[in-house]
Amino acid sequence: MSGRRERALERLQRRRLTILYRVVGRILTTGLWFSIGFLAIGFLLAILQREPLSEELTPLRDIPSAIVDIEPGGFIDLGLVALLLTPAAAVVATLTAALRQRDWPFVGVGIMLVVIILLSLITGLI
Amino acid sequence: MLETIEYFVIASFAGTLGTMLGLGGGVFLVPILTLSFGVPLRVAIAASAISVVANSVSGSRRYLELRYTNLRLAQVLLVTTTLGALIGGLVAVSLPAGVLKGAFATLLAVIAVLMIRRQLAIGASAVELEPPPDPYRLGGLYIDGPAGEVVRYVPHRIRSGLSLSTLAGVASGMFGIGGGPLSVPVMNMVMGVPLKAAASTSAFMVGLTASVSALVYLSAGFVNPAIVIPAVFGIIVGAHFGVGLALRLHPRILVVIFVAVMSILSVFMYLDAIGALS
Repeated sequence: MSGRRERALERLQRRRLTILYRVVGRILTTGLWFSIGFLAIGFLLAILQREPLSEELTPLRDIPSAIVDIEPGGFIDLGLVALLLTPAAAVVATLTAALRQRDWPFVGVGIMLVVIILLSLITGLI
Repeated sequence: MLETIEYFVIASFAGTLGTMLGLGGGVFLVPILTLSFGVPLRVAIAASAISVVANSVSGSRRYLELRYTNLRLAQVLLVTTTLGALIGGLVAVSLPAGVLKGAFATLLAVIAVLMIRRQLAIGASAVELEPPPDPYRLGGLYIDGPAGEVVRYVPHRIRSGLSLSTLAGVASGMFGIGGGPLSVPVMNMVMGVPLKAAASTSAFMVGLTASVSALVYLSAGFVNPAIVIPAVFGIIVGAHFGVGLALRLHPRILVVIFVAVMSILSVFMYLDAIGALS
């Protein structure tokens, strides 16, 4: 491979990495604000409705109806789930980037991570 | 409402202290909630694990901007760390509470010793000028200090790092502390990653590690929103102050504070484990 081609490849990889860092940063920011927003809404609703904060979580399947009924627990649960899934979303972003670059060793690493996350989801959400 | 405020204040304190020492707030939050408020240990661990996720997500954004975080290295180490966290979480929900408290007290003592060793090692492990070959492209570089010095490094002893990361994951899963207190020394001392990159990469990793174990606690019914919400907000606020304070205090003073607090908490956790406090 000629030196010029090698340098061009290196520049391309560096640019892709910069984009990946930016995307992962945005995912974390969005996930954080989304989850904190819902947790804060749930907390404020509990204060306005003069209810103590619940000591138990609303079952996941009841979250949509709890939100429609403006129950604090629904918003709190949604905030917690969003928070716990934010790091997983960052992993999915890095896996997608590895797939695009055909970086197969890292596609394998990403898939292993997704499988472990799914295992914990199966343990956690059923 | 008074309890909510108390939890918030305690979590802020834990977040400030934990961030000042680069350990996250969980290490302090769990024993304080258990010893001072009588919160069941697993409920405290679940609250801590979720707070650690919030703290990691919040803190990692800045480190990603500065490019201190090594995303590729983080992903590789996360495979064994998250697996460890899943196993640790499953073990913790089935262990007797006394045994779990005893194990936590031991962990606090181990972390205190690691912190002293880390302090003694600062300056001893210089970054290599000629990095070794990097077949997996795990090396990183970042710009450090006001002079804009470029720091290049290539992690080595990957297998040892992976094995030890499993232990960090198990500890994180069992005790809800994130893996930071263990994974930073592993990356820095074993794999030769500069401390700044190790701390930033670990900060990113603990978010996923803690979320994996938090889901296990959630399924087992140990997540109490009345404790989790003030803990999450408290840790984030505390972390904000912790960063500022860390810049003003001398590292040696920080370590003295840390070792003193950890030793006291460790002794009280042991006493609580054997029922001497009840």
